[in-house]
Amino acid sequence: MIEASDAALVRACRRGNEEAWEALVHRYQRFVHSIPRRAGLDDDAAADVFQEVFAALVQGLDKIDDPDRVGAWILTTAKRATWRPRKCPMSIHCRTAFWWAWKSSTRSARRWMGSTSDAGNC
Amino acid sequence: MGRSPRRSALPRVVLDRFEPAVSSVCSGDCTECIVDRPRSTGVRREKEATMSPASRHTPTEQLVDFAESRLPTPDRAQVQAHLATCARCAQQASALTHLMDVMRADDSEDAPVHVINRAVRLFRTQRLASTAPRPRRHILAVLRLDSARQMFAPALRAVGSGTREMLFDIHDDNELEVRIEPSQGGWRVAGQVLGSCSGGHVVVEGSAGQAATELNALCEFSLPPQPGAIYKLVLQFEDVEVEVPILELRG
Repeated sequence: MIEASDAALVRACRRGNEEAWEALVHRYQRFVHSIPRRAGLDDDAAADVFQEVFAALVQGLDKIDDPDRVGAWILTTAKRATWRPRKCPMSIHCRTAFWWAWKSSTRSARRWMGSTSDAGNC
Repeated sequence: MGRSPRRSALPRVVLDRFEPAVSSVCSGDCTECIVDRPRSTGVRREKEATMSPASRHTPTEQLVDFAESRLPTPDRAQVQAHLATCARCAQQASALTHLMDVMRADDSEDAPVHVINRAVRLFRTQRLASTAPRPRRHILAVLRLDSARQMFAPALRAVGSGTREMLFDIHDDNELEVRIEPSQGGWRVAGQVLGSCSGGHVVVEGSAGQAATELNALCEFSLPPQPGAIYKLVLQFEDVEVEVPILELRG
């Protein structure tokens, strides 16, 4: 199963073969993981993209016109998921503090904002 | 030239992409191949006659070993000599070498194991769950109107004498109209689902017997006459089952 072609794996997945799905995930896991990581996303965001890509794949298995090009389909989906604006992971308290910092526009507030670990995520 | 006893590290699917087609013909640059040529020269025919089967194209697995620099020195020299004269094998070796270089330069890392496992579980939770039959909701129809209990029913449409009409509330704001009329010494149960409906199965069953039918395009049904008794009427739709628990067939 590991050495089956992409098209054979996709067709087996369509028939409900769980082993084929596992082979497909393992074949493309490094490829999918590398796309958000190279785009600068952190581990958690990359894991979200990873999950999103394979969730879209499992739901769209029947809609892929050319199973031989599932790799290209995965690439496109992973790129879109990577560049989609992500939900701000900051807590409500953190966001409130940011709002205060911008409103006050003081140098100390901006300095505090820059030292907050969440700052780079939004 | 002897084959390497070690299997290549590349998976079969990769090797297949580099394996020459069975019916392919050498480009012509190769002087060592035994191939079917429509117009062989006399010199070439003589050469082909003296060649052994070992002088065919280099096997892909051996080319992989060559590209990975894992061939013993004598074999390596033989392969190099063949590549110098065979354009097709040289092209194949070049492609394999390029592939090895790309793989060596790849600095991407594996996804964490728990992330991979979560993606693997997606198939069971989403794909297999969606194809499994979903349980039907079972709801009881609520009687809203019964002509047998109406003193005056000016709003009811004119029906034949002895016909009893009932109206039930069923799922999703739909209504079920049921008519019970005497027929052939028994009672015929007919009716219609009023509202959105895309077909279904109707069963009436009781101590005196049972009957079943399908809803037609207008979501109407008509069951064969049944003897007078107390029955249960069940309508089975795709995702919901509606039950009228007590349906008394009497005059």
